[in-house]
Amino acid sequence: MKIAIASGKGGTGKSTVSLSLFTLLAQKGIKTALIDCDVEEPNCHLFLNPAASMITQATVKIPEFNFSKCTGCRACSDFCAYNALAVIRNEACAKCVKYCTEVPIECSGNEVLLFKELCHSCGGCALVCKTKAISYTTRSIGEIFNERVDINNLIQPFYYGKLNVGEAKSPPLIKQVKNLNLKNVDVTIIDAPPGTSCPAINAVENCDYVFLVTEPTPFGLNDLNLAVQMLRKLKIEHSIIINKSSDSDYLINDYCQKMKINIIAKIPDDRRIAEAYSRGIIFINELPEYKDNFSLIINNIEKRLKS
Amino acid sequence: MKELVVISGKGGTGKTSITGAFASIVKNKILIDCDVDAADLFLILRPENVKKYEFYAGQKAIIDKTKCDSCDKCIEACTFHAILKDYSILDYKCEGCKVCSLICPQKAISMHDSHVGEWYISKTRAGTMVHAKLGIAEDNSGKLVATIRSKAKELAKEQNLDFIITDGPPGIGCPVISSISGASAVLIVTEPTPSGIHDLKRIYELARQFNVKAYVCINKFDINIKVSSDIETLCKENSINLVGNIPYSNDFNKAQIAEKTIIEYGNKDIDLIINNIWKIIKSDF
Repeated sequence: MKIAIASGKGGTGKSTVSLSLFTLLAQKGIKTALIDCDVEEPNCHLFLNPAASMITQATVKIPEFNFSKCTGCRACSDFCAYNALAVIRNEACAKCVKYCTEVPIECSGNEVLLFKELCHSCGGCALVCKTKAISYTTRSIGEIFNERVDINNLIQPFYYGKLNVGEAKSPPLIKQVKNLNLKNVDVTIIDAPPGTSCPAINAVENCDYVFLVTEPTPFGLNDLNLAVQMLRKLKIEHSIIINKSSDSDYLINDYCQKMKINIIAKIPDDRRIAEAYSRGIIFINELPEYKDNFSLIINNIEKRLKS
Repeated sequence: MKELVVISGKGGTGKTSITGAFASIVKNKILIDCDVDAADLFLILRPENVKKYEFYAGQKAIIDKTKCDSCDKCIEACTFHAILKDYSILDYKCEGCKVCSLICPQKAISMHDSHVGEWYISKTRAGTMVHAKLGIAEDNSGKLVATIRSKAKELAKEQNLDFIITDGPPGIGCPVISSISGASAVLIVTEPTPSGIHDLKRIYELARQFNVKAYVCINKFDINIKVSSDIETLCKENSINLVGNIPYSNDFNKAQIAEKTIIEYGNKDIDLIINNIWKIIKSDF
């Protein structure tokens, strides 16, 4: 069973909830994996002490060019939907090749520049090249961490991705982290990135259920609505967790009533929770009275596992 | 003309609240909300006279099922798994590469321009604001950000404005890159937590790679004085200009609910601190 924790607005408490659920499910003896899909700014690892860690490079495919076969026809750069290719015909060089016997024969006088950050790895350029001058290689976009965490003497798998700083696109890394083969796991919790565009979509798609974490503020409400629309578009069942619950909850309560969405949990606006978080502590470990706030969520998950 | 972009790496540190404060403080400026995925600045500034523009970027495939003979070549070729077994296209997964259209033996697949969102030029009590709304589950946020920044620069030149104040998105990915490239400076808003420090290092590295001068301020600094002090040390060791520490205050939420900036709400301490932050940045400009 795959459950995503998403939000719309950043900083509402997705990682806090993900880590708490990861801990609580383990304490109930349920084999749980946590995947931190906020690959631009992964935070869950800061709160966990892994027993074992393995790091692999995450790569994407990019074209490479055999210039001795390239005719400079520009079919590839014309086809590329992302302006990732620029074909330069080097006229002076072509003359050299024609007249000078000392120029290496590999040089065809043409050059194709690849703007690698713009490439979407679609494979289109190789398909349109009439002289088979294009093949593929890979380049690294980040790292995948494969770790084991001991919670209550149960070894739980924990994975996260870390995008290289300067990389524009996170979805290819999010896809790779999510696709890791998880054996013997009953529940996978996916900590999603903020927002409702392609990074968040890639994190939540194909999940069985999503918990949306919000805060009772106008910003929180606005972004919650965007996240709800995203999940309705993706047709994923969801309910709401109000974090930093206060006397402004009416903002969220009214919205959820109107939209017929269930509020499944509330975590109060307790400064001690923020302080525990600021010390790198999963707050339910320090303030166990708050475990009860998650009871309906745990029951919901247990019920779904049985059925 | 100088552009300051407010970013964070970590979400929820207070970018929009602080940008709102700058909206009250800075004279002769234009505002941009580059968090096109989840724009919130308009909730405080209540824009009027909104001029709306449609935004198209990239394309989506569409399959004419009357021509399709179910050979499945498109499904096999699609890198993004955007084509379902019934040959309908999952729009939110289609990245418009055109490979399916290229290889379809029946020429049953065509491409159409993709309506990705809208952008707006509005009047607010704090001046002109350029902002946008990316469609739900859409791609191309970077292009939409680039479009509104370019328009805002144009308007700033026309109106002889001195400053552009930009509310940036969270993260370090394409919308952030698009928000900061070519900016005069960024103000990184962080918080005194392990997540705050971790994300600060990454967003600072991004600013460095794009050759943009970076300032840092610590919001909610009193939640953890020790970690705040660690951030100060980190900044000192790396010659990063730490320009202010803002205390945690419920007034930020109360101001939001009242549709006011924190300056308009009247928290004198925070007013002083944010004014001082602007003073430092402005003098460097």
